[in-house]
Amino acid sequence: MGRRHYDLALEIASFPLLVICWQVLAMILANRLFPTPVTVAADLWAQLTHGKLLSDMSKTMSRVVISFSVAMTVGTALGIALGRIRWLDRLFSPWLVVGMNLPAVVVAIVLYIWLGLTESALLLAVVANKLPLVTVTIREGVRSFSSDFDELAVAYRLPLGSRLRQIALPQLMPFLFAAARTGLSLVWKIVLVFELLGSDGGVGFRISIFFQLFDTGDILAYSVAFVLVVLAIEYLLLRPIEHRVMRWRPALQ
Amino acid sequence: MASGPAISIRIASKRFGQSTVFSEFRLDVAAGSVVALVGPSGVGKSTLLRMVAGIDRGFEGTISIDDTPAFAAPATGFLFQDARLLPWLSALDNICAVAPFTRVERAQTLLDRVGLHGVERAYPHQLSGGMQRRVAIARALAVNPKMLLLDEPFVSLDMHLAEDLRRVVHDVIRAEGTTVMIVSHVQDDIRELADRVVTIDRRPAVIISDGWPDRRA
Repeated sequence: MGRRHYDLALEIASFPLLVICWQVLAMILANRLFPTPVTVAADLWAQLTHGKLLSDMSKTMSRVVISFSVAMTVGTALGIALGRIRWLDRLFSPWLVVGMNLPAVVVAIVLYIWLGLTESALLLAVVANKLPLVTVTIREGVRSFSSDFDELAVAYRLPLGSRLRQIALPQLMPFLFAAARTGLSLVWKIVLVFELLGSDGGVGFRISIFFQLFDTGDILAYSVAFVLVVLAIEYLLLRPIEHRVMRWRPALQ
Repeated sequence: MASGPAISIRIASKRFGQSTVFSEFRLDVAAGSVVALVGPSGVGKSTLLRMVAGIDRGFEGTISIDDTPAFAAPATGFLFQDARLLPWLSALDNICAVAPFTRVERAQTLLDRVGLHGVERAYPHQLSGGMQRRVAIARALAVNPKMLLLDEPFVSLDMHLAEDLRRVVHDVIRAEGTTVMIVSHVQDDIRELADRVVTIDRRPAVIISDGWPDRRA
């Protein structure tokens, strides 16, 4: 078995192993508040066929997609500007430090007070929490650009579009993927918390209702469903794109 | 056949920190001539090439290429001391990406000329150091065969390969009437390519000799 197949086998075996550990732990504890994977799977099926899982999920996912896209776009633009313009970086770096260390809940509560329990307040709160992280990641990427390639571009008189496409973007790609990965995991967690704090629907809102009923099975069923969607995004979207874009790197060949 | 451009170098002052590299330095390179810059390491030969290419603009004075300021003149076929290939592009794309008016067929022909047939789709990390150097030479020729700035062009190659590539560059130079400035410590490069040798020494740099290369074997 080659190294690549061995790594793949380990990765595939990882999830069944997690489920087995969960099953064993649930059997040992034998408590209705710690349901087995089989019970959660049954709850998941019930929510899927007769519950509001799909509508809640689509509501949450649309919030994730919108806030993620806005945070990535604005954060990338800001990161590039801060990475290239020294005085701008000096001026706004402290803002980023504040932004990264501001508790997410505080941002959400303040925005809910200012704007009310509205959709725009929720989205703005998520973007405000995610933006500093994307900006810092991209700024570090821009700072790591090789001056050798800048010299090459100058010597060969590459036009701006060509410089961006042929020189800047490929160097930025690993940082864009890192920002996307950490961003996605952060955004959906924040969206859930904010939905729980105040929203008219979505996975977080539904989990808050299950929490009031001490319905652990449905809480886990919703969580599993969401994790499955995130895993699908990682394995069916992010990784294939990353493999295609980064195929020039020795480690990925 | 039109030859390459003429280069006029008038540097009033070029400093690195407290150190003055060039002061009142003048050099003219005639159109279609091949000038070798020789001298001890650190005297400013590579810096001079970078200034002519428009990479280094931090100096007082003027450098013009056919009466156009160097930084505004068309791209030169610059060969850096390292291969400096873009690692995310294949060998062929490394040529086409920086020489946008180069057709794939011409890039392919240039790769063939430097002995790289069959590795067009290989990424730089899949090529040896010598092969990377050959792609860089093909790229420099693609960018502008009328004006070449060569910084230690065959330094990492074995003797036979260096000889082959020297012949390739020689043929292009003669066929195109290329204006060339070449920095090299290798006597063979100077003897076989150059028709004028400028020796630079001291800080700030001064020209201590300017003449024909010694073609004795």
